Amino acid sequence: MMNTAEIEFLAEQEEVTIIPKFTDQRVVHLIAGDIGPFRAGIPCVVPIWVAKTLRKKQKCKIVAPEWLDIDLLELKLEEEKASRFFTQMPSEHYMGIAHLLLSDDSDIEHADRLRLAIKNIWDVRVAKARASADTFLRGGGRHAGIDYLTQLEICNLRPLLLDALDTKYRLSAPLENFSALNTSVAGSSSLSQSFSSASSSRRSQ
Amino acid sequence: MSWKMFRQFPQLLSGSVYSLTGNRLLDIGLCGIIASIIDLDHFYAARSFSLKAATSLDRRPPLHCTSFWLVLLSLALVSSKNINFYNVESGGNVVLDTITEAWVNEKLSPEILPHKADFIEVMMEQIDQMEENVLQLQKTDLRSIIHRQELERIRYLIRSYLRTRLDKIELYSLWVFKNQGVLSPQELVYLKEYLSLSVAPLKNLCDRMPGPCGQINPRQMEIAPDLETHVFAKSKVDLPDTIIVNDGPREEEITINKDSQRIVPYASIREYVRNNQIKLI
Repeated sequence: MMNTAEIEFLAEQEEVTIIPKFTDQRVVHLIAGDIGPFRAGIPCVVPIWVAKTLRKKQKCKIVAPEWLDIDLLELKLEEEKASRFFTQMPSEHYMGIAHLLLSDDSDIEHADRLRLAIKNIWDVRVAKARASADTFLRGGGRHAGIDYLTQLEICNLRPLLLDALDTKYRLSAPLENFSALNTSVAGSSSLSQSFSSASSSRRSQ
Repeated sequence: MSWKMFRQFPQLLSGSVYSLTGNRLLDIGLCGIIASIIDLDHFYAARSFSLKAATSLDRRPPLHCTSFWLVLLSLALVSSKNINFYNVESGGNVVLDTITEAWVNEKLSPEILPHKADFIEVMMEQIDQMEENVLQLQKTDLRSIIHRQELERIRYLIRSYLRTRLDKIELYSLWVFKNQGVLSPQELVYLKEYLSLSVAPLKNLCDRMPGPCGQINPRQMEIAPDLETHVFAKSKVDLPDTIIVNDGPREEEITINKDSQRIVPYASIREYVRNNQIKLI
């Protein structure tokens, strides 16, 4: 199972624009691709983890991505509220990127307000996700479309929803389809799984 | 003039070969040597080893024909561009992306997926090469810091990927033993050692136990991954066939389009995950 730190690791590979405060004409040949050359004052695109390192050494200023803008985010919030489904977010890692870029000593103006705007959108989406997960569980069925749900939101939803789905399936599945002895799930869900198989076998008796 | 041109040519040539080292000293040395070697044709044209004859020629010696070198130079330029393009586009990026995706899939899938040992090997080679190059940079150089950080990140990725696989190998050891095709040779060695250290002694112990414990057989000790578990999946392509979801007595068919995301039972999309058409999220 992925945890939030691992998803942040993926978010750090996304690109961001920086304004370097130093000049280095040499291109840096990273394994993931080339970055640079850096000229003081001229914007340049690098992965977020490079931007964070340079920023820590006071070597650059991070420029907010286009979508990290209060007006745009407020529009997005309205759109999200109005829609029954999830709307497409400007970035697959919008929450992760916002979290990485809007740290305490951020270069980006109005960091507080931006953080609040992002959090509002997140809250609306997560509430929507919980509500639809509830409908999905009640309604039955084993599959559902979740277009435009981002990885971090899925991570938030995953432990409870998947476990509930698995348990529900085992309770309702024909008994010959599985054998309680031979099936196990890795990690934390094994406890609830043993519970579910125990209860289903009791029922069958 | 010849000196200047020949100085540029090997720089391009070596630039394409050593583009990662950025070793200027080597470049300069090579330029000097090649440019001097070219002047040896003076002696050839003069057909004498005396310096005087060599410096007072009435015609141009063969290797000093400029158009030949110009053509070669432009060829080298074009090819070095191609080489760089190749390195960036299909060398680092694709391998790294494949490993990243394999890592996420492996983390999220219930079963152990086919190994990506060849990609890991390529990446390890790149890491080794990069490490050597970084050693030549000064420790305080900003580039060295960035390179080291990238190496750490990629190593973390590979470690986490391999460790996830080892966890699954240990958990599902007997089941994996029956489906060895997904393991890399090294993992197979690990699995065999693990089995001989864990399962065999357990079986020996059970054999001496009275009652039901004594009759336990390997099949009962086997833990198989639960393929009916649900996963979040995202399709990378438009799937040509519909996928079938078993729901108790009923069967449902769903069409999956590119970039669509779904919650589905893993068993329904297993084949597509294994051949990289669907990724888990």
